[in-house]
Amino acid sequence: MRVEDFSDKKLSRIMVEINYDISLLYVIPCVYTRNLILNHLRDRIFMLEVAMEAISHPATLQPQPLHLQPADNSIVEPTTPKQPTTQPTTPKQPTTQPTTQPTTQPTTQGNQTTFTLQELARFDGKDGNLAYVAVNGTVYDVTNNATWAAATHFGLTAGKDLTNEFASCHAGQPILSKLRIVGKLV
Amino acid sequence: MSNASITCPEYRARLNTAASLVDTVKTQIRQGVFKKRNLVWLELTGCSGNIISLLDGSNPDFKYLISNMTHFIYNNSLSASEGQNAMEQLFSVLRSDYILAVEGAVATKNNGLYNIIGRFNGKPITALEAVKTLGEKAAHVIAIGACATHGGVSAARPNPAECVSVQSVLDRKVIKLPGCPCHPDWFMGTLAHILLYGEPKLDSKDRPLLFYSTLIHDRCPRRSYFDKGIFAKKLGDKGCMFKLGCRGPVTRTDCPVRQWNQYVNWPIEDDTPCIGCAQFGFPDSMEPFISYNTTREVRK
Repeated sequence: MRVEDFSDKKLSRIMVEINYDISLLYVIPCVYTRNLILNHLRDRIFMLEVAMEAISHPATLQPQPLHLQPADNSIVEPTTPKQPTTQPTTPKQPTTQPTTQPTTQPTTQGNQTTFTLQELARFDGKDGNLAYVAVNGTVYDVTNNATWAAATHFGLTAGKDLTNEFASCHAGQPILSKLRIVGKLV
Repeated sequence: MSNASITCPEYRARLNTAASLVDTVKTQIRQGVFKKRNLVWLELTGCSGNIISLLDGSNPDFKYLISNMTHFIYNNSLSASEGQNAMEQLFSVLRSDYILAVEGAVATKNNGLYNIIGRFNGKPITALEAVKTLGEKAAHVIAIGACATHGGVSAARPNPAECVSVQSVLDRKVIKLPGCPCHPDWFMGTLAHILLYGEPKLDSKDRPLLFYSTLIHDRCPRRSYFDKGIFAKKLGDKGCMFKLGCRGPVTRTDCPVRQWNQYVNWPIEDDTPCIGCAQFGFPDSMEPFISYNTTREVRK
């Protein structure tokens, strides 16, 4: 994310939305609506955090597949489920895993982590493993993606190359850009 | 749930969508504006769960539906007549205007022989034949429950009777009310809307937006737990049941607000993950219903 992506106009819009959310929270009595607003608020605060980071370290930040566009979504029509901004399960990145199973560890060359199908199979979301899936040669993290409950999604399981399945259901939908990229499938 | 939530106008409005539609019907009946229409409820390959669910309805109750709102022509579980008389009653409707409600999937193997719904003039009538005959001439067709809308449990693997949805055998618009079972309000509200204003607004999968517009996940009282990453590790934990396999994030219904059994409770409030019974592809696509190996941390 670059500094240029955060024009004054966008930032002020985020601030307006945050203030509006807070004002709403004072009057809303319904627990469901309140949760929805809190979720919206958290999302906007996260955007601010990223903006701050981009401004303070403009050179070091790489473009990331995060949606930071202040969306036109209103509170009554929530956006598609997003990854939570916090990951309290302290996910272990492939690069920092202990090398007790050298044959199934993804290899890191420079900034690029690569996975073979066999290595990818380990990331099935079970027994403390993260949940990764590959689409078109890119490996994505779906561990905390809402539609991947228990690392399963409409009969599919994590740890696999799902290029064909993705194409048959989600072709043309901007879904992948919302997922965190963890490497390449080789 | 706190008392404060009851006063939320949005919450109240949601709860009363079916009731307010039905109240309008009641007013119009009193004023003599409203004309009752024939309703046929066909049960094909299923478990009768949807008619049982409808009997539990309270907005209005079933008695009002069959006596004041519609001429309830036929239902195989509830019909007083039987045999030839019942079948005559069913097919007599073909000569008039009627709304067709269908629950259960259509068995297609051996030209539908796996489900015979009755005998008419000595000839066995298959479910396939009945739904095709009645479906073509109906003013509206409403598919109720998982089996009728997309095959559901009846079409689950290995699907020995080769069950399919009602839409698969009818070349016309079929309003779909998925759910296993369908909530009485979803049906009553849709029917009242048809009686008053015609077909309700539908989404791309022909579900009425009145009831199927919002993801369970977006209205879940445990949504904050998901956002904070606090996950239940076993049933009974108060966190988000995402790691146990909750299908709320892929299922569109108003269960969190409307609730079940005359608005008493619903699965998540009772510590059970949503199994996605109102999502197309249920049950096969929604399995596993519960997983424990996704929540345990294994020391490596």
